[in-house]
Amino acid sequence: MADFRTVQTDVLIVGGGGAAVRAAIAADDAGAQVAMLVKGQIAHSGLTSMACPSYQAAAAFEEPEDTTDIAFADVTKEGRYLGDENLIRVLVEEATERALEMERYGVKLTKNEDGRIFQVMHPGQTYARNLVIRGCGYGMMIGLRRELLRRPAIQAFEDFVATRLIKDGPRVSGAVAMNLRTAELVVFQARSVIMATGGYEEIMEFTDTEPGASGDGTALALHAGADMVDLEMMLFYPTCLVWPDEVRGTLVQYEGLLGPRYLQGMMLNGLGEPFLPDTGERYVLPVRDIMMKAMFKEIDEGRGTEHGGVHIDLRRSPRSTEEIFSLLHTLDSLPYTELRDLGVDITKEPIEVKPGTHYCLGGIRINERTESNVQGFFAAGEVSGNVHGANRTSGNALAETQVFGARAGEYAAEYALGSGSAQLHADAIGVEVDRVRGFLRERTAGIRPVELRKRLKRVMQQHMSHRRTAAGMSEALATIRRLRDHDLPRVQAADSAPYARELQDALELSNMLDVSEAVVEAALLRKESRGHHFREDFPEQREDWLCHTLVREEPGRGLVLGTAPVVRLEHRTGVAVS
Amino acid sequence: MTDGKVVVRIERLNPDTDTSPHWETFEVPYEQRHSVLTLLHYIYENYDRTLGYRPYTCGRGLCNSCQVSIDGKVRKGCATPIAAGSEIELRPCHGVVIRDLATVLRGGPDEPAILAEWRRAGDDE
Repeated sequence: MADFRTVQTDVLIVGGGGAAVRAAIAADDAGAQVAMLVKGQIAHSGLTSMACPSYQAAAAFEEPEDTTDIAFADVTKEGRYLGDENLIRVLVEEATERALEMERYGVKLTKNEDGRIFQVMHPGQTYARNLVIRGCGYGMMIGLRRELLRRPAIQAFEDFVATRLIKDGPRVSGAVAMNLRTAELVVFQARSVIMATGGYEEIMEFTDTEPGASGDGTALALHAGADMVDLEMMLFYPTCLVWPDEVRGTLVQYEGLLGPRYLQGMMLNGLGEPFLPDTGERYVLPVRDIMMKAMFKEIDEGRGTEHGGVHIDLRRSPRSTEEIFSLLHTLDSLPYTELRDLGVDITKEPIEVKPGTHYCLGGIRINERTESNVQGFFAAGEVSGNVHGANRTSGNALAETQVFGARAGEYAAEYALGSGSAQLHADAIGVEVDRVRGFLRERTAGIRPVELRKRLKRVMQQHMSHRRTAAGMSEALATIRRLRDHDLPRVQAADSAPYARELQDALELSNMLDVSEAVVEAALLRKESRGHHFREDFPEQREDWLCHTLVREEPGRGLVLGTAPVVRLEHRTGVAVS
Repeated sequence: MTDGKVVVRIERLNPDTDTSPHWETFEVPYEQRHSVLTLLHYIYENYDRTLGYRPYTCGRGLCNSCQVSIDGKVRKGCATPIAAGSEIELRPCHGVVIRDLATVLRGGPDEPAILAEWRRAGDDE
């Protein structure tokens, strides 16, 4: 280890989005020394920064009838009863307090004219529940970063990517990381580690997420022996632009565009016919899993639009153009100005949309203390797995970052301060250093990582979208293994430091291959359709599959599969909810 | 609309080896509509694997991470459409260049000592 810089800390946080920053603040409050590894720069990278403005909290500012009990029932039901109830209870109970805290940090919430905090109602909510953050997820990150700046003890290593977790027996003791600006490898020694890296949407072709969502944290957790839960559950957002090319894959908020309280546009198929089912609920629009199925049905059966989507048509809205733009401003919905710059006027022509992969419901299995099954290893935010279930309602991703980020920081600090230092093992570090540097070795006929990345994404999109079958998924699995075992060893990255972009591409590719294998294995295991997991060979939701799928990597055995019961409130373990 | 090509001039700099920046020209076929950001992806994927620019961007005009000087004006790369037949000039728009168009958007919350030797005067905005 003499060759490497070693940085020592109490709590190491991998990630730089909403959950990571909130965890850093909480751990700092608890008196722990904190280091963060951020793949880009805080607020200018990561998944929170690109989020819509919705933050769900049953605060009853807008509709006094709302309660956390009603929110709990809504979230549980819309998650198709696959979310752990102890975690949902924590989420609905603590979301409001965490939001008000964010406001104190400098995050701006939209207010009504009388000064009350404004809330909008989205599908799956009995009452108006979503706070609207000014400046969307980016505005939220700018506010959170402001609080981070007030805490000089927190060390944020920006443009640093963790490549592997290091263990000391059963306990996580640190990580190897690469400084993207110099390609230098640095070893971090920590008493506890929090994973807060977001999801792995990048394994699919049609996503609305940023390209950094390569599942780094998911892969690192797998390799560290963490239990991964419901990895097959990848959530589709129903309305992502398919045209024009410049903004292909960009999300447009259907809740605002079509909602009965808001813009009242219409969703039409390529033949100009309305097709969405009437939910019969107070909020007329269906939630995401039902909506995406209805849309895919139109597209798959040949009633799609020119570019393979369906239409959102605001020309049918009873609202005036003035009202439309005023509402768009209040809802802080994007990307209308961008569309206007591209020559698309949404009040004069319909926009073409289809469902795109938006959020990973599955991930690291945690309890109320955000602990995983690996000692000293915690997770918060999208990288964790059992919070929402098989579907997620609008606004709960941002709420999740704050509620579980704060908990992770608190409990990881408590663990770090209450336990001795864990050792780094030179052998494990050496193996990882060789692996990373191996991608730079000269090869005859070396393959560029971007080539394999595209092949992987194509096969995942073909077989792992909304029409999954055992045959298709087995084919996907064979391709993934061939790419990993045969082609990955032939990958050669340009030694482009400063800024080790292609080496980073190779590391991400490696993570994406490992995560894809685990996702397909989990999807093959779940022999039913539920929420966003739809199998053509098992189209029904089945009572006997009301359980989590589990994937764990064991040394010498590879991926081991299993199931686990969903935690119900009467089974609750761990700390009590106040 | 999809005929022709786009000519892109990029100011390149590797601070480790170059004493001053130089210009390089790429001709990109216009097979689909492009923004400045998707053009950079195309050049990285097809012409030059050492091209420095920040790839982790929201792509929807929010996060500012693709800010770049386009024909002398600082704009968001993802929100700037490029028509077929155009010629554009791209330069980094922040003080400190890591490589080419990849820059330090600002100093980090507590720029770690580990980067001290890398840092150059004036990198904090």
